[in-house]
Amino acid sequence: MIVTVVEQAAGLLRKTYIRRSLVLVSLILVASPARAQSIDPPVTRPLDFSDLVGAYRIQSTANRSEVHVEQPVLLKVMIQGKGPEKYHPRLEKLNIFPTDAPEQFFIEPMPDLTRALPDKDVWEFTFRLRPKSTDVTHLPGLKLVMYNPARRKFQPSYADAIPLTVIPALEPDIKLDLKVVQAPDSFYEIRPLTHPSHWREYLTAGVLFGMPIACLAWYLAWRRRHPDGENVRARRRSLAARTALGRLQTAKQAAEVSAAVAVYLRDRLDFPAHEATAPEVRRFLLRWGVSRQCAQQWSAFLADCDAARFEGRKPPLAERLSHEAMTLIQALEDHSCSSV
Amino acid sequence: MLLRLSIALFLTLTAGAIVYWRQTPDAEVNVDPDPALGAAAEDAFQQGIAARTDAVSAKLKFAQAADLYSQLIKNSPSPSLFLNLGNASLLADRLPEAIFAYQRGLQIFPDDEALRRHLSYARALVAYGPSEQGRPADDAWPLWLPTPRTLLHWGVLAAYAFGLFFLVRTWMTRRCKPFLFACLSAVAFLFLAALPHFFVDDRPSVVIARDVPLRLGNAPSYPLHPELPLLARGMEAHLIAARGDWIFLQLSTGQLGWVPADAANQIGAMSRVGKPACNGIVMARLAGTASWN
Repeated sequence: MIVTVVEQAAGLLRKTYIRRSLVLVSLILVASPARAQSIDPPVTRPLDFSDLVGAYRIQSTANRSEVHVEQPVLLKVMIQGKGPEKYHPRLEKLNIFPTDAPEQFFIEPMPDLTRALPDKDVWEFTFRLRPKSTDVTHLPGLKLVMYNPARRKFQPSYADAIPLTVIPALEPDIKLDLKVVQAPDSFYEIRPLTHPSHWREYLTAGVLFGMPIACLAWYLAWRRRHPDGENVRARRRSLAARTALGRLQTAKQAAEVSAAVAVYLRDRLDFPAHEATAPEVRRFLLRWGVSRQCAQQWSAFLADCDAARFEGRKPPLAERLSHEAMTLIQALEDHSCSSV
Repeated sequence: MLLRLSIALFLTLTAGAIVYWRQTPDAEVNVDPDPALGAAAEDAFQQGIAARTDAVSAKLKFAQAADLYSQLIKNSPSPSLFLNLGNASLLADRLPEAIFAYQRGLQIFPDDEALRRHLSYARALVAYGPSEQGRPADDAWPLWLPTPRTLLHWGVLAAYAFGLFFLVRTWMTRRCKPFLFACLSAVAFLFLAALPHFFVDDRPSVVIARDVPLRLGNAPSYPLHPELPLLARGMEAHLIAARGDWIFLQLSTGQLGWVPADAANQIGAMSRVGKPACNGIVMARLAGTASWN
């Protein structure tokens, strides 16, 4: 409406440049009150801005001037001033400590001790500071950065550093643990310090080292008791001989003796003929490599068998023949073993 | 041929027996304990028992007894000494030393029932977390039954004896059948004797001497272990490696991490049929004659 009125007035002047100037002035007049009413700080803000708008000042006090290392000092920060309620001081928004303060102090805000009195324009905040070393000489100076909407700029307020004397830490007060150890009764019994039983060691050593010695002794004793053990074993290797010896032990007649011998010769030496006659056996044994004397004994034995069979002699003769046959078989086995 | 083979088998068995003997705890030198030192240790223990109601003096006496028992064990290890040492350490509130004493005793004398019982009790005193991370598995083997190590030992001896017996029978009869049995027995002997080397965990064990954080690296700047940030005193672990002043551990529940070496000054081989299988550094550390570096 103002612009329209101005345009109408400028139209009366009928001068173009005057009319344009008046429009521009009217636009500035219209826009200025709106800008003056904004309280929000601009988007580009300092790093240490405490989100505070208005005019405030900061003060700090400490409850102690001398502390041990890592002992606490309460730093009370009082902020006085006015500003819009939206941007009143708040503990979580305060950014008042210098950047190197955490290197010198452990800093803990204490929300329980915060006091806010907006009607009196006073806010009190408390921080617990614990110096990290004896190099610390002052509690840090504080800097409160706020935005002043009237002057449309960020302004700081300062609180001076507070002298502080830091002395070395106290020796820790170590108390002895006087807890009485509880344990079952068996823990209060002393086992006698007798030497441990060695039966396990002796048994192990006996088996590991005594066994080979015992085995060798056993074998030597066996060899001494059975000096011809190997010969016996060699004789018994022949199943045909064992069978023939068994049959000869039960033979009652000369025909049975002759048959047992014939079976032995056939099974043991592959004697080709079914009936063993003295000349055939003699030739066969000589060809087989038996000594002439042995072959002669076999021949004589078989001749005796034939005589006994066909002349019908008494059983004592059969027993003698069977004993003689066993001797010949053993002699032949010994010969075959030695030749092998 | 059979005779030559059997003689070769006999020599093999004898050589295996010598190697096996060198690995058994039975080969340890056992000397009778010093009677004067033993009497002093028992006297200190008795004084500790007499002062049970006075915690300070009782602990002092039990600690004195534990120190004396430690000296005795160096020369003459016996289950009685390990048991008394463990009891004195536990009553002196030296839980890690007690667990270590029981463990060492069981290494050499695995069938001692009292040692196994007291070790279980001492383990129950360790302050494991609510999730019980790092707790060793309970010993479920019956107390009255010989341990698997002992049973395996008797099996080795039996196979060895059978092998020799059948060898002698082979010499007597010159037959192949006894020789075959002798070969089977020899194979069984060698297999059983070598079995622990493949299946038994012989890494040295560590008993944590004080509460210590378990870290993911060998420096304080490394983060804590996410599952088990703190190892309580008395906890047991396997030693994997050592680097500088730090040692790398694995707990029975699988966690891996680093702790300062001075927080785990109780070291020993965990379990092996043979001698404690510690490396030189560990044994020297145990004897207090060398550092970790």
